[in-house]
Order: sequence, then structure tokens, then C-alpha cells
Amino acid sequence: MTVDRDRISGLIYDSCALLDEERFDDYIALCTPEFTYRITAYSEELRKPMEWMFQTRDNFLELLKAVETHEVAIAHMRRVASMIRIGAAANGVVPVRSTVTVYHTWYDGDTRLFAVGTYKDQVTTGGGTPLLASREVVLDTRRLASGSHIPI
Amino acid sequence: MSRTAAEYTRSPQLPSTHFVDNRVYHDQGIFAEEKEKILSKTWRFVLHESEIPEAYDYRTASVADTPLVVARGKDGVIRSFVNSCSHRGAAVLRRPAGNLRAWQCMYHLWTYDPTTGECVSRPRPEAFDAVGLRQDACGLREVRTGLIYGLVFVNLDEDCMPLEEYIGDSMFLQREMIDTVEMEVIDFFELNLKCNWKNWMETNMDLYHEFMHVANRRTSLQIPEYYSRNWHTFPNGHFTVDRYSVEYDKYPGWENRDDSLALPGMKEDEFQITDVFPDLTFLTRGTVVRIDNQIPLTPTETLVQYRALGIKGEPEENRMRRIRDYHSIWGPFGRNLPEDCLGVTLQREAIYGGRVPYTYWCREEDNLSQDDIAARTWWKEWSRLMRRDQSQPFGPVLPEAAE
Ligand code: FES
Ligand SMILES: [Fe+2]
Repeated sequence: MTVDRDRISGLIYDSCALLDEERFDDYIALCTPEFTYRITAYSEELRKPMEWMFQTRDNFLELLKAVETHEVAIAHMRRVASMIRIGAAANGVVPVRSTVTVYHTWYDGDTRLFAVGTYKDQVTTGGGTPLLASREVVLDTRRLASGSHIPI
Repeated sequence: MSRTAAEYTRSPQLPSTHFVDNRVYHDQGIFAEEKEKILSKTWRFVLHESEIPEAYDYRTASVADTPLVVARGKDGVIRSFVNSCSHRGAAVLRRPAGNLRAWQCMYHLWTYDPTTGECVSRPRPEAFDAVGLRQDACGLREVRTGLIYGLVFVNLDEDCMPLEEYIGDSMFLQREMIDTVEMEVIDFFELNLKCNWKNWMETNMDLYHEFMHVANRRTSLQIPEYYSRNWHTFPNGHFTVDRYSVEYDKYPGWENRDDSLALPGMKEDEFQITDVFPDLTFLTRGTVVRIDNQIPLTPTETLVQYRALGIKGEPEENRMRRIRDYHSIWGPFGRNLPEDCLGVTLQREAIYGGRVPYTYWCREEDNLSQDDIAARTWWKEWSRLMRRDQSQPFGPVLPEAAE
């Protein structure tokens, strides 16, 4: 099976932009029905891996949609995916790793680095349209300047 | 009606216990004095014993600007030392945690015994001996360390009261859930908040602020029992509030909790808070205990550490549910923690410029949930130790704190 590298990269970029724009339905439309989402980090303090979020597709959408009911930071997040490395397809699934850098721009225009990490994605390519079957956000950053209602 | 400058800046017409002169949050001198009189004179939580389970395990900490290493010696005893080489001061342990049978400073290779803190070797020592700096005078400084209910505390003051006396009965609602079965830290992260450490502590003693949390508005604030809990206050500035049952299914995507993973003495849907002066809070939601402690960096910058406690050795499936319960609300991407960050950030923005003179802790409702008795108890202890009245910190010096 030939993997359309441009379309897979496009999927990763879209996933960043749609969360930045808080277009949650469109973001979830990039995902397979069995999509799972996790945020993880390795704790140097506890000397073990940690999981900071786990969501299935439907639950994730519900959570994202509830954000508008909350008092959220008057800030804009920008997720920048780079260093996209597309692995070998196996059983219709392509492993994709990218670096993600997240900036927080506050209402006064001040921009701060929020976090850096890796997207470890499983992408399905059946049906011609690449979709996210799973995403694990592996954070390097464990000491944050604030929390965020919208994940990475 | 709005207030004029004179009305705004005059001392509020309230009992002095019921308001705070905001200079206590941002004044450099007050901050320096807090480090001397409070942060290095009280028992300070540093870790849970499960973080250093094996002989030679260590974990670094920071208390009142003092770098520490807390270690389990080869004899199984937990001790603390100042984590600074006796030679030229470099931090000896560079990782936040690890297991080492000898602590060697990377700079000039002086080496220390993790059990005793003794200096056990110095390369080419003759030149030190020549001036009389003997190796046995080069040990690390040991710091008083106490263990209670699995919690490890240190006190930089060698003349301090015993830890058990300091804590007293303040953890009577907390103790059963953390000290019945063996517990373990299951999550750890830090926030570097641009706020005074007391502002964070205050979010953990102020139940009136819970209106800010959408999740609490839906799952808690509609419940009559939420408002009828009692605060219990204790000597040395500690307090705790009775528990109530949360209606989790009122928030989209959440389910009510059965009792399959309830911690000892709790129901899964119950919520309970205990605050230990000066900077330690236990927040327990049925399946998981959250522990906040603080490392004040400057008057306006604080490192807050967040730990989650679960049951040691439990099946992975149970562990994951505890962790997910915890993070859904209290993780950096949870529903509540970002809102708490926002609250203290807005205080910092408005107050720390020095032009907003007073804020209130004046709610009275028979010591029930949203009575400000907890904050007043905390500030009373602050005032006693600082010998400054929080309502007029630059006014008359208070009498010396009774022992
Ligand atoms: S500073 Fe540690 S050996 Fe010199
Ligand atoms: Fe809160």
C-alpha cells in the first residue's frame, strides 16, 4: 500500500489547527470511531510513566464541547507540529510521530511557551482518507505555567 | 454606590481578623520575614514515604530556599540533608530522585554517605589537612525529619516541637484514608504560578470560591448538605471540613461513582479537605487523595507541587481509574485546576501593584462550609508567628508568639 505522505502530514496539521480554532466537531471528524486520546509524561520524580488524560472519541467530544460553559483563560493556544516522521504501514495503520510545540498567547498579546512534546499517532489510510485512530501526546514539559481546559 | 479614594483606602470597618492588608502578598520584606519566621520554623511536608521505598532511594526537595535531599538510609530510616556540597557548594544530587549507594559531588568528587551524611572521601585530601579542615568536619547538614501517616515532613528549626504535637488532631478526618492500607504516590506534577504562595493556599481554604467551578456548580452547589458542613479548627493553624457526597452524573460525560474503589473511611462520591499550616492541603475525592504543597520562590512566584495518592500494589485497572478520576478534575487538563489558576492570576494582576489596599475574609455562617473561619484561622497563625497583624502588617508589633 502506498502511503500518501502529504495527506498524512495534512491530517496532523489539521488536527493542530482545528483544536487551535476550537472547531471540536471538525477535529473529531478527523478521528476513527474507535479513536482514543491520551496525554502521558515520564515522571523523573516518581521514576515511572504517568497518564494525565484518557478519552474515547465520544467522551472527548463531550468534554471539548463542555469547555464553552467554563470560565476559561482569555488566551489562544497555537499547536505547532513539526518533524513529522511517517513509519511503515502495517495492517492498514501507519505510525506517525511528530514534535508538538504549544504556545499560549494571552489577551494582552503576551506569548509564552506552554509545553513541548511528541504526538505519537496511529493513522488509518483505508478508504483513501487518512484518519487518526489514536493519539498519545507524550509531554516533555511537566512543570506548566497554568492548566488548560483544552488539551494539546 | 462607588467609593471615593478616602473611602477606599481607609481601614475597613470590620473586626481586624476579617480582612487582609494586601501588602502581605507582594511586599519583599514580608516575604523575607515569612521565610525566617514561618517557612523555616514550621514542619513542612516534603514527600510521601512511598517515593523512596528502598534503601538508598532519595528525592530532592526545597524548603525556605534550602535545597534538601530526603533519603532512606541502608537502615531503612528516612533522613534529610542539605543538598549542597561542603566544599564549594554545588548541589550533590542532580536528579530529582534516584537510588545511589554513595553521593559523589560532580565538581571535585567529594563523596558522602547517604545514610549518615558523612563526607567519606576527598581527592588529594592532604592539602585540606594542612590547614586543619578535617574530613570528619565536612559532613552534610542534617535536617530534622518526621514521619506521620506515611507523610514525610522536615523542619529547619532544630528547636521545633515534635511533628506529632504540631499536627495534633487536625488530620482526624484524613487519617483513616491515608493510613489504613499502604498508599503510594500515583501522579506528580508542578505548576509555576505567578502568584504569592498564600493566594494559592487561600484557594484551598475558601469554599466560597467554588461557585467559579462549573463542575462544582453542576455536581455540588445544588446540594443542601454542601452548605451545612462544619469546619473544625486546631492549634498551630490547621483545619478540616466535613465531607459531603458529590453528584458526579450532573456533569456531561461523567458518571456517578459506585464504592468499588473507595478509600478506607470514604464513599467514592465523598469529598473532604484538610489544610495543614502553612502550605499543605489534602483534597480527597473518594478514590484519590490530592496533596498540594508549595515552594515559594519570590513574593509573586510560587512552585506548587501536586501529588495523587492511591493504594499501593492494586490491580492496574483500578489504578488507572483512580488516576483518571484525579485528572478529570485536578490535572493540568482537568475541569477545575485551570480555573483555580485563573483566580489567583487575576488577584496577582489587580492587587500586586500595591494600589488595592484590602481584601476580605469576613463571611460568617456558624463555621459552616462557606464561613471564612478557615482563612481566619490560618491568618491568625500567620500573624502570631510573624508578630504582625495581617490587617495592619506595618502597624504595632504583636507580642512574642507563645511557645
Ligand atoms: S563543590 Fe563539591 S567537590 Fe567541590
Ligand atoms: Fe478551586
